[in-house]
Amino acid sequence: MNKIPPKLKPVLAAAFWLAVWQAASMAVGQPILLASPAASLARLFSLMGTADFWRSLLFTLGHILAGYALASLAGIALAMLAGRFELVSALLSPLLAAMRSVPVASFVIAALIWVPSKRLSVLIAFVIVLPVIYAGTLDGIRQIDPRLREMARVYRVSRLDRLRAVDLPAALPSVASALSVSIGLAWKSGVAAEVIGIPGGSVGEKLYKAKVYLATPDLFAWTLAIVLISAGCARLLRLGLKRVERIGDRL
Amino acid sequence: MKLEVRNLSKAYGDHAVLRQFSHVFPDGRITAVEGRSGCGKTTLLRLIAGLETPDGGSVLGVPADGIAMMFQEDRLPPQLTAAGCLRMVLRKAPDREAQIDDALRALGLGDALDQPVREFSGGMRRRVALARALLFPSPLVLLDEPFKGLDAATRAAAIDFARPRLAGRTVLLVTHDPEDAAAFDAERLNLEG
Repeated sequence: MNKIPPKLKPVLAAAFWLAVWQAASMAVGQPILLASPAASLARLFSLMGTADFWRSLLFTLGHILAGYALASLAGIALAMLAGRFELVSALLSPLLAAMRSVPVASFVIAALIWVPSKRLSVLIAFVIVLPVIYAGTLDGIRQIDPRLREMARVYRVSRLDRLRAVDLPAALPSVASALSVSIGLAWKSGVAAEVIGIPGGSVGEKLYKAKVYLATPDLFAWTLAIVLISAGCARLLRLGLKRVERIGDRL
Repeated sequence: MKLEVRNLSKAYGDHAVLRQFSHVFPDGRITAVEGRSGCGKTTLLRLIAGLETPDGGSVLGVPADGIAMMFQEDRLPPQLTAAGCLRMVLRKAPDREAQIDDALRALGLGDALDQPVREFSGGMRRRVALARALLFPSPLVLLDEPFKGLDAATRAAAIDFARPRLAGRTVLLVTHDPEDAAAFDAERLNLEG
């Protein structure tokens, strides 16, 4: 295993599990129960040739990313307030702890009463991501070395330079970890919300229909599409965060 | 305006560190602040820098544009290079880069200009912190055991580098070493007496 080039290892691991999936579907022998990877990929490629596929994907992508972005901004802002004012931290702590433990389905059903199903995935991604970003940012803020802050204060370092050289490098690992974890959570919860709320033209609606019509290759093809696009978002996010990380190294 | 502390008092819990302490520090001169550990030397610097609130008394004559302060710890952002640590506190000036380069080379750090300070030894970090305090253009300089942990040769080079850069500035030099006061021809202030 040690002789395999590092870049090849994840490809080989993915190939292994695809082989296991193929073998399992051949053993079951009923595509309706377990579609093979070949059939799922073929279905995915055929779906990709339709405008409806891209419309649905864009609809869901836009809604989930909107919920994720709003939750990230709100989570970071609230954590900054909580880091500064103990009262805010004490007030938010039970609310966000409760948000973390409430099942997604409960949120979805409650949200269906309050918002149109078209906007459901925005709200659900928001409420699932918010406590994760808040906790990660607050933890990051608490990693900032107060002695370096004192030094910056004595030397009258500008706010921007203090942010770049003292605050960001200390807080970023924890914030970045929360952002990375929650992008996957946003996709999982957002799509789950769409499956329950069935907004027209969404990926969730397509998954729901695949279930109703027992179209297992469709279910697997859409799931593959979600996995790929969610992984793509996570990769782009990691690249962006690496750039932000480097800001603190240059002064 | 002369730096002056009037009736300065500070206690941590039941332990009074400074009691009604008053002193006028000579303008443009170096004062070596001496005394046993725990007698309030660092507390005095922190009160002057505004990092602690006194229980009583006042500090007068502190410049508004910042103080050049070398803490007991190095307090350098670990991811920055030595030059980055200095740039952080030096406002943009046409000769800033030349000043930084000269200072780091004079202090024997010329071979490590591009290295982050987290990779530096304790003595190297101490010298970067000293360079930061010396280059920062404040008329008031607070140095808390600046040569602690330096070997004899490095200490001598650091003193040679510091001497012209402290000339004409009001300096409080906290030290346990009487040789430091002698090296800078400093006035001596013993907080115990």
